[in-house]
Amino acid sequence: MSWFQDIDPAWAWSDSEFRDRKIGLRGAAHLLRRTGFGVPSDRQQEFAELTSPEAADRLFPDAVTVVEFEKSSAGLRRLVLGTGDTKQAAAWWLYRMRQSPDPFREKMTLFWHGHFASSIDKVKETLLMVEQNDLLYKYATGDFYAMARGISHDPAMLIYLDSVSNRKRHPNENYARELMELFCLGEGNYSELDVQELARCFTGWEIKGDRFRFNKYQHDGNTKKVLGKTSMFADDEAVGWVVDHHSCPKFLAKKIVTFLLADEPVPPIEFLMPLVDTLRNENMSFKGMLHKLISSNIFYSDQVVGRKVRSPVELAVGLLHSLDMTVDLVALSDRLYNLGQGLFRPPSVKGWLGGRAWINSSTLLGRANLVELLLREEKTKFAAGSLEETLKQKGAQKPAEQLHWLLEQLMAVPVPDGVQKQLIQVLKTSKDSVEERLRITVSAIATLPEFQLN
Amino acid sequence: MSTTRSSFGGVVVLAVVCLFATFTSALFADEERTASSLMSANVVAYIELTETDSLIAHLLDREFGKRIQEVPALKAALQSNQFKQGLVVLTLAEIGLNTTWREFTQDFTAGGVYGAVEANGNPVLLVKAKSGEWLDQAREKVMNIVRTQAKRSGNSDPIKESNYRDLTTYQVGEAWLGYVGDWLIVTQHEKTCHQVIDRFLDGADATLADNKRFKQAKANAGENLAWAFVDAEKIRPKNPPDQLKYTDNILAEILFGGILDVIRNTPYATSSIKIEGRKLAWEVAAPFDAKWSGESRQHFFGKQGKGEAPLRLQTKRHLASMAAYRDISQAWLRYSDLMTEKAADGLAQADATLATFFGGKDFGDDILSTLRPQVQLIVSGQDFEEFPLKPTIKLPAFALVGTLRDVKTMKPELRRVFLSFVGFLNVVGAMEGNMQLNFDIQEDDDTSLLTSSFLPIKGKDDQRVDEAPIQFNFSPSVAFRGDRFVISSSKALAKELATAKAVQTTASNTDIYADGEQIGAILKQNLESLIGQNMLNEGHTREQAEQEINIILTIVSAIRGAELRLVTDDDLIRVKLQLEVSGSSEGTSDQAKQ
Repeated sequence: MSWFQDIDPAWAWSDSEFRDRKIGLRGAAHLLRRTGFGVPSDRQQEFAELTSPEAADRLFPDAVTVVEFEKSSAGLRRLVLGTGDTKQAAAWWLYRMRQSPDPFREKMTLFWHGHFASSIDKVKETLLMVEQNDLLYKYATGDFYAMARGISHDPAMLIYLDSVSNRKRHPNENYARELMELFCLGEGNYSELDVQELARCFTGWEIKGDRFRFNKYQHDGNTKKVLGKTSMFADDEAVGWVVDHHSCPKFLAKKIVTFLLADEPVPPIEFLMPLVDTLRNENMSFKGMLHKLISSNIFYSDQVVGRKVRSPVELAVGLLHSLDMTVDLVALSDRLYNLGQGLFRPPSVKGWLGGRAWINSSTLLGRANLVELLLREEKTKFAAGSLEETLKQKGAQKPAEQLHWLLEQLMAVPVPDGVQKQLIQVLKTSKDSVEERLRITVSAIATLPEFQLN
Repeated sequence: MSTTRSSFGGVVVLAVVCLFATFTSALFADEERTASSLMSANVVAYIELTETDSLIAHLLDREFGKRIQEVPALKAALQSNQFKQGLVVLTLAEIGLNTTWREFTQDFTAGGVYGAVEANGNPVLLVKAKSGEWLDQAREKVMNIVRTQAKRSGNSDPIKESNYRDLTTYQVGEAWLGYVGDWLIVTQHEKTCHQVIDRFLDGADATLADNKRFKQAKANAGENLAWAFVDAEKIRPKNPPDQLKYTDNILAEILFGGILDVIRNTPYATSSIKIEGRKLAWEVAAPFDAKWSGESRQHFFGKQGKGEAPLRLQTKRHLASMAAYRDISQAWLRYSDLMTEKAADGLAQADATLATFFGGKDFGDDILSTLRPQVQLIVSGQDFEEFPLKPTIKLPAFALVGTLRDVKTMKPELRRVFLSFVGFLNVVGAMEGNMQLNFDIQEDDDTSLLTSSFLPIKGKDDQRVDEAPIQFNFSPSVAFRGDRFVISSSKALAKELATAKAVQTTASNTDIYADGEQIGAILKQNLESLIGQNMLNEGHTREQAEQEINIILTIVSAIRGAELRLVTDDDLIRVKLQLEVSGSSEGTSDQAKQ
């Protein structure tokens, strides 16, 4: 039975519990883990002093805050496109996740990448994948109408869905089907006839020379009936009509709640209605809904904290943030692919399943090995010079303080006392140097079941 | 307390160095003793520094050293706390010795510094001071300093004394020290130290000086800052491993194959260093006999070892080049004698594929043999201002220049092959959805230029002219002028090399040249890319990446150019490296005289 059913949606989506009090260090750590990657301690301190609405406000920085970073990122983007190497493109995105002053937007871009999944393995052209990423980033926390229209003309998407050509004599139904089933409405909210009619609306759409082109001679200009509406549906009007459908905000709200709140159970639609209404009232713009979600009582509740499985990207980039490390990002992008989350390479049109699907006996070992590798690699550097120095700067010098700090930064849920005792023994009694003991401890923490939770 | 210990540590280190000069005896005259006559006949490697004063002057006062000191890594080291601590210890020592360290070193090493390694691995160091009297006085002072410091720090006497043939020998840590005449002896074992003393006092029938290979090598040594000798016969295994017989890829064979024969046969090798102005010259020489290679590596040295590289062609943005005598056709046809079995199998496959590509002609016999054995590879910067689409990553162009034996037959054949090659790239490119090459021919009375260049990507109207993909660095081309044949990665370089003039260089088998300024220029052109790569590969922030890349740029800018030549004459093979640091005065001697 879903615990959602025992909770009053009005209370759940209100910010009454934290409206007048600070979210504190633990609340800040939870917020930063879910809306970004890991817990950078300076940001944790900053957010701990805020109420939940203030903290949510701060997760939507204005353009001035990110302008310098965007300049530097644009230079990197040019380089990546100059090489045409997708591994470099993946490294560029990891760089953004690690360094961006707007990690929430990066996190939501990652969400949309899984939602509007396309893979370089089929698209082949790095430029197209990067341009798709630009589009997803642009609307990641904004206008879904614009995003849906953009993705409908996106060369990478249409190549990925075998829809580079759609002629009126043989309408290609691939994109029309996925737009309704996977992108906007979900199964059961449309009919086979709607797919066929929607496909007619998209006739004349072509990808030529890696660019979208509307071929008016191949467009079916007759009237179509899509989701109960009869119209000529010129240009991309039909995309807007699909987004207008009452199922669309429900479908999206459910996916976003699963992404940001808890992998399971799947929330009943009645529970989500306050979010759905916000989304609809704001004309399918996400900012209000996201703000409501991350400042809500339910977001900070025990039912939610530590109830998600870390994706490989969250695990790796989170570690870099939490321990203030830098690593070889090109190599990291490869390793993430081996763990099932290759950036620009989702496994299928359904994207990543997430949740428990991240974990099996093989990936569990792989995740622990990844942490070990990140700690040991020659190119790995700690901002403070060493892990020992990092902890020293945070005021953690004695073994008990060091373990406490590491657990607070790295774990979303408490670790059993027995395990803590074993970990403290490593820090106290090992014959290795302090630095080595700390690295062994972090590696040991990475093998704990609790470490897999976010 | 810790400061005292640290100072003491420093003084002990200094003492080990300075004790070389602390012991003397005026009892023995040593005019007839040279360092090599004091060394065992079993020495396998020997090095001497006879001009230490000049070496220090070059490193500290003169142009070469001053430029090197500007290298950031060295600059940082010179400003480090450890170095400053060392300076404090040095100052204390100078006060104690009542002299400057430089004066001290000058007197201490006035007769030279000599090191050797015996066949059993024992190292020996000999230092010849200004005089026995000077050495005696210095010994007294240094011993006093060391012992006083030890006492102050509450440590026991670090110097243990013993007696051998009425001479006092000393043990400091793991080193044994002895003195005789104006010589200081430093060894790892007491017995080795005693043996050197015996040779000094009694002479010996067999010393390094009596080694005929050493004698021969020494006779050929000119004036150098440093000179070294390796007795190859003594260290070479009786049955050389396969790595000294076969190479594992054709490029390694063409570049270094002949050197393997020298290593397997030469009785000894010497090495020397000279510094003049901003130039450092390092040379490795070894006896050489063209017969060692027989016919199998004639491709490398030519008949009787007389093969000469072509004169270096000079381009406007000359980055690096290698001009060499190499009969590539012969190397290709003999690959199964020269290379490991695995590599030979791979080449056999490649040979079959290339025969198909060249319309059934044998690659080694019919294609490569049309080139004379003088070839050169040239890397040159590109003028990106003239590119309609400028690539984000800016690469230099490269070209291979050869001379055709039979222009009349081969020119049409090579033209046809080039056309097929461009066509092949276009077919493959079309299948993969990649860019297509546009083909063009330019002919004038003397030069034929066949070029290809990538067409802008169709449909991508918004493509920025300065953000083109990496492919836009390339415009594969070939040029023919007289018997000169150029195959190049860029149209401009092919054209330039078709008429380029040669630099006057001394005759050599191989002539490799790198221009520091041009390398610096290409790095600067790619500054943003280098910074970006650093950010992605190291995960650095932009500031951290800029810092690292600037260090590399400063190091490169400190070097004006480097030349490496392989020269063979009747009985010697020499590898000569000349490194020139950048400065304001006149350029390299062998620079372009077009």
